[in-house]
Amino acid sequence: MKLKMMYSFLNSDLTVIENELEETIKAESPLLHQASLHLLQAGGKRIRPVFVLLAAKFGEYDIDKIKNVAVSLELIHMASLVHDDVIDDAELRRGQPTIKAKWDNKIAMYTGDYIFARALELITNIKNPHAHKILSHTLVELCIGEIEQIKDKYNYDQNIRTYFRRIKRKTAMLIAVSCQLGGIAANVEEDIHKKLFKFGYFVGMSYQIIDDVLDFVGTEKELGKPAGGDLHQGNITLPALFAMEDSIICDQISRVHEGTERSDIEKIIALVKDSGAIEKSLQISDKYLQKALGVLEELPPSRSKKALRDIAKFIGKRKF
Amino acid sequence: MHDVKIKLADIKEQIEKKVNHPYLLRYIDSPVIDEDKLLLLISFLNDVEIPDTKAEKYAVTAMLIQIALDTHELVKNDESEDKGLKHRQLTVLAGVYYSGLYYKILAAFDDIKMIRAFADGIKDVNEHKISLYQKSPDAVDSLMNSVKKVEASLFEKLADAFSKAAWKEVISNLLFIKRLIAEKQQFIKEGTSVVFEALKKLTFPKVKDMSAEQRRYLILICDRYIDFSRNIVDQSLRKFPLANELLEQRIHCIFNNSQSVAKTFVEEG
Repeated sequence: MKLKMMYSFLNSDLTVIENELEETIKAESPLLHQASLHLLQAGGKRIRPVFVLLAAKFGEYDIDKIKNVAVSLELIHMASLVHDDVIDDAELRRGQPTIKAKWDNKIAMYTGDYIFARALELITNIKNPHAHKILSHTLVELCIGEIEQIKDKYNYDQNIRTYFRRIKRKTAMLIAVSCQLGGIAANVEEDIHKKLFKFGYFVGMSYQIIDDVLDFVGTEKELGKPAGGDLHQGNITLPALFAMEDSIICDQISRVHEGTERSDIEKIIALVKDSGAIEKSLQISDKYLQKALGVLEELPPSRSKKALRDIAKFIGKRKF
Repeated sequence: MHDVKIKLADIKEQIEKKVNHPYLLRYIDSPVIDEDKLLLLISFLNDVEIPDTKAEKYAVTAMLIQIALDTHELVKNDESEDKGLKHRQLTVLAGVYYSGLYYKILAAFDDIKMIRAFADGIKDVNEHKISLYQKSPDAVDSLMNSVKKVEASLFEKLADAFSKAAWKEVISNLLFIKRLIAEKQQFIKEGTSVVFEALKKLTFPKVKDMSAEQRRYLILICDRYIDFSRNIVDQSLRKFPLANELLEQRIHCIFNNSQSVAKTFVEEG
């Protein structure tokens, strides 16, 4: 089953979200509007809004209220993508030129800051102070995660705990908070929104590990970029860390630097694949997935429960 | 004056502590705290009937946003101008980090209203920054309005939140004057500046290399805007005399600086 089919009952509300996204980024400056729209039209899974809506189904579901959270979180994600493309000097995103490539770094910075401000403006329609404490804490953590990632680049003296902490901040927290804030905006009990957070966190961890595995096993066509990009950029992910338990592979990986030849990266990819590190990583991803499914069982019955379960399982099996 | 100086130093220290991220500061310069903006904030907040802790919180958060915006302004297009990849990467992240802190501080105080007001300010600043960068204003007035909004929108939103129209006039015009003086100085010294490039595009669209007379004409336009804003500040201050000697001194200094720049230009021909 395709991902979108799993939550097809949300289609009309997702259209509301899409329209609201477009409405929110309408800027007075034509160029700013064009740049924001360019990013929006490049598409994306809209996985965060989906989690917000599904989580809100556990409470008093009012799309006019919930949409503020869903759109805001997607905008925060979009703003971070625009900034990340400046950080990574990326030319393409989702097959389209990035804002920094189509215009320049300056325009990308202004656009990213503008979208971020619109996101904050929108989320203030949610008057629950707890929601803002959670979100603001997450945003700072997210940024610290990115700083840590740069700090840890080409640092081969790191352990699995460092990796988990990094992906927690980098990916899992925003998914966790999407679920939790969806619940809070729908006035669910504290016990429920905490469980929604946990579910999102476990799914987010599983998702990122799969992402990191795919970077080793995916083809250039599937990934839209050559395999082993993380390693080449000095991002030491779980498969690499497991593979480094072998002293020979550890020695090879530790020699990787910015100027390493593509052919050498390909040799290391082959070594990592043969080392059993991929399987071990997938096992860890599956453990997180099982934890997510376990938390989901503790939540009250809801139509969205099945969709959340299907999405979680889909993430566990996704190929790219 | 002594009290204001102490407060200024105290809040500056609080801001420095907030932005002190050891790893970031290993690769990027310590953020510059615009003391004029901070002094204006403190003076304004002294005039608003709110508890000291709240006033301090607003001063710190407004300055964190300003620092975040200024930090992102340092991101260049030309790689070769950069001090290295890591420098650029961390400059981007530092700006994001500082603006995240503003949200976190206000959220900790349940101050949703001010989160919104400042977000509105950030939105406006970036709208006008892009307009200025693209040299898109179609008239000198709208160009100057963009310059003013880039400098003051954040502080205007704060003044609006307390319905202090007179303060809003003073703050926005003073910051506008200060920016124009800086642009003028840069234009005289280096022959170019963001604002003067946009001004040239509007005034002499077909001219490639301006003559001395044309350059003087652009400076004259700039001076007229400075004078106009200076009159507004003077008039506003007559309506509500400042109970703050330090700010008064600083305003005189800014005004004098404006004159001395013009004089320098005349002397240098």
